[in-house]
Amino acid sequence: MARQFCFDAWHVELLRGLSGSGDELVRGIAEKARKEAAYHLERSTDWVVRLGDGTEESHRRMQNAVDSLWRYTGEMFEMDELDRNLVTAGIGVDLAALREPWMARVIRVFAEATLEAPGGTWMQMGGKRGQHTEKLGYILAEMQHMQRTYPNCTW
Amino acid sequence: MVADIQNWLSEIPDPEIPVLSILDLGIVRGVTENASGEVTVSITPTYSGCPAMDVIREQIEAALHGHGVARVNVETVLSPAWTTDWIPEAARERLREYGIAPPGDLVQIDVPVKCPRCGSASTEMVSRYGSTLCKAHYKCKSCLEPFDAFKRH
Repeated sequence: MARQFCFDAWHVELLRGLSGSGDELVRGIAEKARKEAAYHLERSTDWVVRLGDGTEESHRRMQNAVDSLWRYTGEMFEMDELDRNLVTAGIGVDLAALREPWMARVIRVFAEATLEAPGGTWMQMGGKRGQHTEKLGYILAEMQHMQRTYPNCTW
Repeated sequence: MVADIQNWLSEIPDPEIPVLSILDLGIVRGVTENASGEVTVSITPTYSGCPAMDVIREQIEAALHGHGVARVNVETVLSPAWTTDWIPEAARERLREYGIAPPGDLVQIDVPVKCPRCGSASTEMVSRYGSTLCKAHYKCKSCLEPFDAFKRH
C-alpha cells in the first residue's frame, strides 16, 4: 500500500500534465486515466491512513515500508534524454516539476497517518538506465521461462 | 439505415447490467455508413480495461451482421472521455428499480447514497469495489439490505 500510494500520488500529477499533451492519443488516454487514477489515489490514501494511524503493529509495518521505499521515489522525477525530447516536442511532461505537488500531498497524508518521511536526500537511481540488482535476473528468468522454452507459445 | 442501426444497437444490453442498453450508457458515439454500404460504429470505453467492452464489440458486430449488414467496422474513440453524466434519467430510474443506486455526485465515503429499495440515506459503504469495478458496495442501515452503487465517473 505504501508503494501503491507513492505511485498513485505521482501518477495523478503525471496524468494531469499529459492531459495537456500535444499528441491527441496521449491526451485522450490521459484525460480518461485521470479519473480512474483519482479513485486509485483515494483508495491507497485511505489505506495508508488506516494502517499508519492504526494498531501499533500496522503502524510499525507501515513506517518500515515507508523507510525502505523512500529511496526509490526520487527516480520518478528524473528526466532522461527521451523525456527531455518529449517535452521539447510538446508531447511529454516535465517530470521534475511533479515533485513539488507530489511531496506536498505525501507529507500531508503521512501526517494524517502519523507516519514520517525519512530524512536524508540520497535516492537510488539507475532503473531507467537499465541498471538493476541481481534479483531482477531471477525474476525475469522465472517470468520468461515459458516463452524461452516454447517460443511463441499461446494458451 | 442509420436510424435502423440505432434501434438495433438499443437492443444490445450491457453484459453486466442487462436493464441498460449500450445506448443508455453512452457507449455508442456515432454511426455512419459510407457510399459502399460499410457501416462504422464508434464506441468509447467506459473504464480502461473494462472486460465487458470486448463482449460489447462482438455483440455490435453480431447484431449488425444478423440484420444483413455485410461490412461492419467498430472503432474506438477515446475523446471526449466517457462519463456517467451521459446516462439519461430514464436509464437511471431503471437502474434504481433493478436494485443498483445510480451514479450521482462523485462517490465519496462521506456523501450519502440512497438505498434503491427503501430510499433511505442512512447507508454505509462496505467496499469501494462491488460486483464489478464500476460499482461500489453498500449496505442500508434502515432496511438492512446490501446493494451496489454505480460510481460516478
